[in-house]
Amino acid sequence: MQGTGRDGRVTKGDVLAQAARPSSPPAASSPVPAQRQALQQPPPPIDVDELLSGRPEQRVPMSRLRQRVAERLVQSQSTAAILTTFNEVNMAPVMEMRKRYQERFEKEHGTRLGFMSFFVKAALHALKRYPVVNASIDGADIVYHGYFDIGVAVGSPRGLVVPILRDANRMSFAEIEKKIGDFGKRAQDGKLGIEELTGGTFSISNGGVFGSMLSTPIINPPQSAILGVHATKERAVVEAGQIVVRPMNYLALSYDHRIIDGREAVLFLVSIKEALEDPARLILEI
Amino acid sequence: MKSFDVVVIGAGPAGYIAAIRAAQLGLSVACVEQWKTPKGEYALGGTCLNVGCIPSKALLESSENYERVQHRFKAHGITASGVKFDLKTMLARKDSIVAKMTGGIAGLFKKNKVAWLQGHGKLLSGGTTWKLQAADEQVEAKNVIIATGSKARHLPGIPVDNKRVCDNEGALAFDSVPERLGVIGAGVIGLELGSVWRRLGSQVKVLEALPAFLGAADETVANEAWKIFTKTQGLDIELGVSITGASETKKGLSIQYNGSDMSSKTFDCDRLVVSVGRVPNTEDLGAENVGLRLDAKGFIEVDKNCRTALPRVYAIGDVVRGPMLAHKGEDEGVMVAEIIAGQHGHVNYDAIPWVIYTAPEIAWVGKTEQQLKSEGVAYKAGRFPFAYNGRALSREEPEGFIKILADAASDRILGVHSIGSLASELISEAVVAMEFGASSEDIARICHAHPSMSEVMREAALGVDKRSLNG
Repeated sequence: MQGTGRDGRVTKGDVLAQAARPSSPPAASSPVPAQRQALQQPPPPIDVDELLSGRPEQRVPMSRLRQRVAERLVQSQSTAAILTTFNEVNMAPVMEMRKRYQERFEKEHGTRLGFMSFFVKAALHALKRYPVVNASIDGADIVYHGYFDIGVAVGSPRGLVVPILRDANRMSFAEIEKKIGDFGKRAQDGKLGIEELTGGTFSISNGGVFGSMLSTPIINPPQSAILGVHATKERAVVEAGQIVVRPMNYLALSYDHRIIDGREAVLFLVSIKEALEDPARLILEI
Repeated sequence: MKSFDVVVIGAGPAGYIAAIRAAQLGLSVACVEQWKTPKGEYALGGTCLNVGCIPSKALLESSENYERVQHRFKAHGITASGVKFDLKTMLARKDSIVAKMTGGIAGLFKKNKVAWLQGHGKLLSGGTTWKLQAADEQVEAKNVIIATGSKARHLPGIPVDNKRVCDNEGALAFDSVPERLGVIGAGVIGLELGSVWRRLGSQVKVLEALPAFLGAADETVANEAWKIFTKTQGLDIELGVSITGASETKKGLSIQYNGSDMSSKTFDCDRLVVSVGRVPNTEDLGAENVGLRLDAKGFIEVDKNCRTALPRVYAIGDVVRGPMLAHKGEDEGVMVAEIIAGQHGHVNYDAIPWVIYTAPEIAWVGKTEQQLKSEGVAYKAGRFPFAYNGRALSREEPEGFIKILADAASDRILGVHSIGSLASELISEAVVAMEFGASSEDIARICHAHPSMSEVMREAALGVDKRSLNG
């Protein structure tokens, strides 16, 4: 029901109008669970052309998803002691590997070899070394999770959603790629189930798909850290006293300083950097 | 050259409130005001505080008290003989209230660090910042708020000298009570000032060009007011007249006019009040220097957020469209200051109360019954008289009623109209209700103190559903 009173308050007239409306069947007999429905709301009716002609204001209620996102983000910022550490990674080795094996990988697994699987694998590699980054706070306790459920932020028409790769440590590169592709598609259609969006012990946000060069991602509570990866761009870097061109990606790790110290956070990010710059480490687990 | 975030031209209720709100929000603010008291001192507050709302209320209260002693106290068993009034004291009291109030604004300016530039303000040129002439200096402003107000409209052929022929300014300062007072214009100002001098002993005749009395008010209220003013109080009001001329006579003035039946008539009086509306103050504002657009009547053109077509130039109060009410200007001042500070100020023009401080008072908010009829809106009405209210009776103020108009389907309150003692105070409840989109049932279900005049509001709300409990 839409309130027409001040600040959207529901008035007597709104209730009378609602009561007069024929009861809509989906509310009574839809087989779709309630949470699913919230995700299926149509995008808000904003007409930009109309908005720019004259100077009208348009008031559109937040969708349930948007309200939940807003609530969680504010909660995150007001409870955690969030700070962000940065590093940069030379993506040339990963790109080289993709170029070399793309065709065979696709033939073998039926999916393209993207970058996200590398980021997920590198994150898992680092999480195993620094388990506190995979932990969460519960009251006065730190809960170390014996599993790695990695949230992968995906854009959808209704806003950002973060579906979870369950037990990501048991997944192959191909499985990760397939799962993320599937998430992306179903997010577009608003068909992600609530059970796929809850839980998670660590998150990865790839702002690079939109062209972001650097950002400070915000933690998804009760998780304690989130990795931000960005657009890979050619940059002038110095190697052995020489200025060379390298495809660089800036990494950001936002972490909850209440349980993760700066030392661990920085070493965690360095570990990711090293794994990406030398993917052989992922196999050798070093 | 001094530079400010905001320069406000005019320190009437719209301008001074805008200046204070902008200063509260951390902006550097100057306010230009050219008003001078009769003694030649610069003063803040504009028409409202100096020669409008406030001094007229002071004289209305004094004259009303005099009338009470003479006529109304008898019913309480109180009689007094030899009751006199001293006009000088009455006027001095009025002046001291004005001085207190305008001095108060000067204090508020100091407290909020608003610079008061004494003299005439005028736009000189634009660009990334606006240049203004303020008295004898030039100042620079990132944002300009024009709040130059309005002045009394005068009639051709009847020059106002504020001695014999007066507008609101002179009519608040007669040095003696005129034996016969003529008032042209039966609007708010004419009725209020006519009331003051009638109570103090003048024989008052009001001439009104329009055929309907209080056309802006709800018809039932206007009819009730007509009955009380003309029959009970003996105010002589003639409608539908056209003034043809005025001439000075040995004893005073002679007004020539055509009656509603087009017969030519004359009317002699000692003094005349011309209260035929007000016109915006946009002369010598420098509008032409910067390309500021005025409409045919001289009002500055603005959108609903009081933005002019020029960037960062706003106009508020009587100088723009909408009712010439101090509180409407104040709210626009707050809105504009907040918009300049990056906030989202707004004014709900559908919930602005109107008040006429006659006795009994007239107050309303929202749509009148005739408006709803002409718009074809289905509505229900509930009306309750003060005569059934214990507090009104014990106060010996049984006149008038409150009427609530609500949407027939949603029950949302569309208008509230009242004539009666303290109507100006009672209307606030209706304004709050309308601001929150309340239904008449909402008011009907709210506990009202007993005995109080406010119970009439609740009974009127119950009346919308034909279930008043006490009538």
